Amino acid sequence: MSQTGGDTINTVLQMVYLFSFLIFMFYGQKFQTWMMLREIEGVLVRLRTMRDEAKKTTVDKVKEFGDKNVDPTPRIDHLLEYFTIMPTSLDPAGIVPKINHLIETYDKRFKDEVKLLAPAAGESQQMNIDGVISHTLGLNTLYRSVNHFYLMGKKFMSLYVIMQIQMQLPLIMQIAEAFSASIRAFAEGQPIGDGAGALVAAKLMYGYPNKEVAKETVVARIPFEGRDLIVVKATGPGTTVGKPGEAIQKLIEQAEGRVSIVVMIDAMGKFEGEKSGETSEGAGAAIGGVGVEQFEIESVATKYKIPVHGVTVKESVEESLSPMTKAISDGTNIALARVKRIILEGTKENDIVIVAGIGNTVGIGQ
Amino acid sequence: MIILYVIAFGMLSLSTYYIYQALGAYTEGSVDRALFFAIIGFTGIGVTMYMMSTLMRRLAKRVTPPVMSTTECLKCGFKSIRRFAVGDYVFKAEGDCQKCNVPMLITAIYAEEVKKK
Repeated sequence: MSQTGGDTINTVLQMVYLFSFLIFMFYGQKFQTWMMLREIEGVLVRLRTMRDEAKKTTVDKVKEFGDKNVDPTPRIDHLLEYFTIMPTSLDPAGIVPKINHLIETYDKRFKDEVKLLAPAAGESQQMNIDGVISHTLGLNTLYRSVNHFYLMGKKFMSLYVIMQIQMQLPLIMQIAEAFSASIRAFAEGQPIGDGAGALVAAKLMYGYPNKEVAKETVVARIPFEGRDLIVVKATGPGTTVGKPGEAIQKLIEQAEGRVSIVVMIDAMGKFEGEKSGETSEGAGAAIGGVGVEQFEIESVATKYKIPVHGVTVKESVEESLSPMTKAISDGTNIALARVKRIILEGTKENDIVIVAGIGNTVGIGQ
Repeated sequence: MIILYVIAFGMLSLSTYYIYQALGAYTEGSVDRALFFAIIGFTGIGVTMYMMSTLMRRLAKRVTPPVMSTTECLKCGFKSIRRFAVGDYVFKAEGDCQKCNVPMLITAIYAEEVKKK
């Protein structure tokens, strides 16, 4: 009896196996689409949670310095959908000043909003709140983009539409987690990995008087082995990258081009398998961003034929936006030694050298 | 989540049943049938294990590494490491040196590495 029962079960299971094979043959793609949609849905839930946590951090931070009776949430919600429209590139000549003007408009609007939301905050704290809102905006944009592709894929049930976003999910999550970590760092005023360049400049200029040379950018003149070093960094310890391009342009024009070399220190994306905190050297303006600052530095350096050297500290995308790790912090000492070596080997006594520490200077004074 | 657990349990049960069938077939002398059922059974167990490990990895909470501030005396080199406090920044003057009473300075702020198990 049991053997007959066992044979019946086996027959049923074999039929199920055969039917599932036929179903996968005809509906396999639909099943694959459904699986991918489930994966995207899971990521969307995580992105939404991160976005909501970031919003809560923003609201709490603003409430610390704002009117306790007024709920800043509606105003912050409006800010989180703030956008910029890049200038048309139909006529690319003269586009850099247009982009610069657009960035200044964006920055001013954000700063004015933060002043209204948190009037009791000091300058550094306002910069930190500005940074928190900017990165929450970034997270919100990421969430909205993924949601758009998810809903579009669900509407058309097209494997190829869904595949476009599904393939990029690991990178998207990496960026989202980096943004999330940076929001916590900005809220508390902790240095992030991107501040490696600023930290090197701060180590050089500490103890010397400094003054503002451009918006949120300071300069200090320090003697070094008979050379005159002009060290530039963003004004810390608030969240800002300053205007190093404008600063370097001004300083070189003030010196009428009599600058021997420009050395720039910045963080650099590392390849997989490389150690964070390692340094490398190259030629050219080591600076990120849209390209406006880089354009300004390259223009003035080319005009006066000044060599521009770059020293970079390697780190991952996540590390650049998260609280600075010990490896990167120690790496800045090696970067500083490399900068000094470049100056000693590439210049002679009485030469003027500009050293620019590029990066977000949150948590780094001078 | 519950659906995934139900599917995993179902697959595990089915795989166990097939392995049992494989043992039965082997003892009866039907090696081909035993091999067939064993392959299905072990494949099912493998897929279930993979599903469960993926699920566990997703549920694992990310650990936020603690951020530390290093305070240093520039005169005698005395160092002290403590947890980061809001308001700390690199090159902030912080207290006096216990050895020589000179103002100390925060020279480094970094996140400690979380050791992977």
